[in-house]
Amino acid sequence: MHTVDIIVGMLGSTIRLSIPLIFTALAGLFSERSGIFDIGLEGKMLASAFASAVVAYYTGSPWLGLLGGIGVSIIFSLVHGYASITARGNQIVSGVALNFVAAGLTVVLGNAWFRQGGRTPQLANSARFTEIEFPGADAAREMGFFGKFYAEVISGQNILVYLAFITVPIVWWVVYKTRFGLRLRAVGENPGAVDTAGISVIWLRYRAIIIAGFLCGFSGTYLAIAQSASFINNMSAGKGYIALAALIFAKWKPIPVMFACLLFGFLDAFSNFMQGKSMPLVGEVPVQFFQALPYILTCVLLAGFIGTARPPKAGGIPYTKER
Amino acid sequence: MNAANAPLPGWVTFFLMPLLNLGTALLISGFVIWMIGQNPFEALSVLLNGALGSGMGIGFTLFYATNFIFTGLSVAMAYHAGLFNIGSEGQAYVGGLGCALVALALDQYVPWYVTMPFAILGAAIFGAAWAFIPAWLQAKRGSHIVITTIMFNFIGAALMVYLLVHVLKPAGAMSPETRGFAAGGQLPNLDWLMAMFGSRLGPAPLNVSFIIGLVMCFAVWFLIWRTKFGYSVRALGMSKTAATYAGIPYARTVIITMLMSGGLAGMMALNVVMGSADRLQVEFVGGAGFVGIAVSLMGRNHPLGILMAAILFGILYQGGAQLSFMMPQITRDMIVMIQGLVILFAGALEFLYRPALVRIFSRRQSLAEA
Amino acid sequence: MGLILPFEERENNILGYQQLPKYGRNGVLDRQAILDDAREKIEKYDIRPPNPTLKTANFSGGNQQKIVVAREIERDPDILLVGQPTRGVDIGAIEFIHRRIIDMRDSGKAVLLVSVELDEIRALADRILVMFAGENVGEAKPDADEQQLGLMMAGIAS
Repeated sequence: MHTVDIIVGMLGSTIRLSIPLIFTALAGLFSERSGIFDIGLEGKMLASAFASAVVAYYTGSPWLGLLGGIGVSIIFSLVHGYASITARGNQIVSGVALNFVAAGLTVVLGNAWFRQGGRTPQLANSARFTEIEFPGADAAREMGFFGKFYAEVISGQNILVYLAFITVPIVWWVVYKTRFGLRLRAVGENPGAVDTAGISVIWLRYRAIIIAGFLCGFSGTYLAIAQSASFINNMSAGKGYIALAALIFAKWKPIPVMFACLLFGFLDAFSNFMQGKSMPLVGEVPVQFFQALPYILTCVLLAGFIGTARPPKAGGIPYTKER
Repeated sequence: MNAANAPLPGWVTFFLMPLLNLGTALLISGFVIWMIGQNPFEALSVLLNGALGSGMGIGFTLFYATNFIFTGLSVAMAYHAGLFNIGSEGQAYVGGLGCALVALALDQYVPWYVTMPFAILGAAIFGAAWAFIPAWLQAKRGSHIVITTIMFNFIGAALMVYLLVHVLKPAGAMSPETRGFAAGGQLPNLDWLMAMFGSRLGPAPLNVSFIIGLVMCFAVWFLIWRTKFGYSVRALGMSKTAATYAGIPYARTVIITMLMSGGLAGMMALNVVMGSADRLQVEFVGGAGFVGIAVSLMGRNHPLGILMAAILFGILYQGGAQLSFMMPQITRDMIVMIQGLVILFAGALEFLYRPALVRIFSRRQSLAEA
Repeated sequence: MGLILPFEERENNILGYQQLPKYGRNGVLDRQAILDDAREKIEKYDIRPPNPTLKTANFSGGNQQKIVVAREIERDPDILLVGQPTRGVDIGAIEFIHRRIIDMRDSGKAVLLVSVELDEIRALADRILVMFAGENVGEAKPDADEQQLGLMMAGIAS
């Protein structure tokens, strides 16, 4: 294989592996910026993956599948919201619980409906989000590095990939340039002040949570009906937690979130590539090292050795209106 | 006084509320079972019968409960200091390494009762070590312990898989696990305990760890409520400023508490690694660390409550296994879901019925006074 | 705040002094000694309700204040630094706390009282130091003219 092929191939798979992280981390951004910890990202991702696969299977439409994924993800969000905003329960526990519910419920329903051990039936290509070929991609493939880059990284991705990269600046704009964004950032730091200003803390946080569910719906859908062609047991496989790590690594900021997700996606792609190969000087690096690297990096960051990561101040604390 | 903190009788807080929460979780689970075309009442009876209907069932139930006692105590210990340790899962996993190393070193030379104290120490030290870095980061650098302990769960899992695949696996073996322990590395079953009640344990792996778990329940209770250190821990957990005022050293208390919490989690490994599998296996913790969070919350962070909540989850686990065997339509994943619902209602929504109960009981009180 | 509201009264009664040997040796709490100690102070300071196992949050503000004052004064310190010792306390308790502070003075202890209540300061202090904008602007006698004190507090006179 040529070096060019390897690099382009790696970049392509970095992008593909980053997409679910980007959607999920941005979802977490809305939730955590509003002061609601969201350990349940993983579960939402899994539930929406299942829902999108089921809906896409019955309707044959990927767009309806996406809608189904988003809907279920928002329902999970609302349960989390009810527990942590209205009932003032423990947000971590609620997140852990929803992860368990999602892991169990998807397989139980899948098994009951399709009898394939929890998997959903293979989808036809028409029911999936498939690769979009850009004009001239075929011709460009033969034209050196940039041509290949155009053909296999820029072109040839499915619609959700492009959507993910469009979402990043939109989220940035919403968080930093709109009134809602200002209030969102404020409510995660000092809900009391927001309340004093006559803005409902509860409604604000519910909106943040619903947006989180909405974005998570994309990541689950991507897993089930864009990257693969069916739902598989536990197909999120810890990606929700990696996204959480990326969110923290990016210090809860939208543009850095994208880069953190790309970095973690690259680590994933690199470890796949390196499996069984040995590196110069160090020899064979175990794949587990790359799997742990995102978490190690995040801990190093949290320790304040590379800048400081300070979570929203009111995160995790239920808001009680003073009487 | 508003409904949020109006006092309720102790038995309502400690028994009725958890019971109502549990009931709600089971109700929804029953609904799901009915939805997939099965009879929820039959499922419940199979579940209870499988968990409690025979000596073997009870043996399995208590075996699983032992895991949850340790992880529940681990979570509770940290909770009393105001720390949320969701890393019990990883601490138990790494604790397994300490336990297994001791067993591998000693099993061929000494009987189990010589190995056991060292294995307890090994498991506790390795578990504590895995809690140390998050504890240190929290105490000295202010890193959020919830986040660091999650990260350490994953780092620990990767480390353990690496060690099992590349280091500890005997040459030529296929599955990523250590060699089986000889008799000196196996904890004996509690056949005699069952015999006392005129029943038989059969193949259930209930072992000495259960008794160690009970001892640890007492030890944690004594530590928290009867010692000066426990006083400091509780003071810190309830009010950091007041603790500072009282001269309680923050960093030291946090680190020691987390080491104890990690140590308790690590000791869970004893039950599985030396008590049942007799080898160290990949993912032997299987979510028990997370269940510990629910157990601790449901048990109101009190060892007695934790014991009862652990047994409850033990029933769910064992009954669930039986359920998937007897009613194949209901797979083990159903138990994962029920577990999630129980954690949701007993943990996150624990005060769901509080306002209603306050209304009922305060009315009753005022009637009694009038 | 030197109180932990979810603690029982007797537990707050030893807050800050929990390491003293009289409350238990070898790291274990001596529950009888702690209870006796709490009963003694409850009686002496008329803390109501007289229940050492009641949660501190369930005491009135004045009685909570008395728990703190009892704990700190009964330690018999050589220097007592009190800030706003009667804020939120009922009339009867104010009088009692004032009397205890005077007793401390009478037994030769140094008392530094910080307060915004002019009446309280005039009733208790032997010397009054007036602060303005973070600086000491002057000293006055407790029988000084109230208007004079007021001007000093405003930073106009010294």
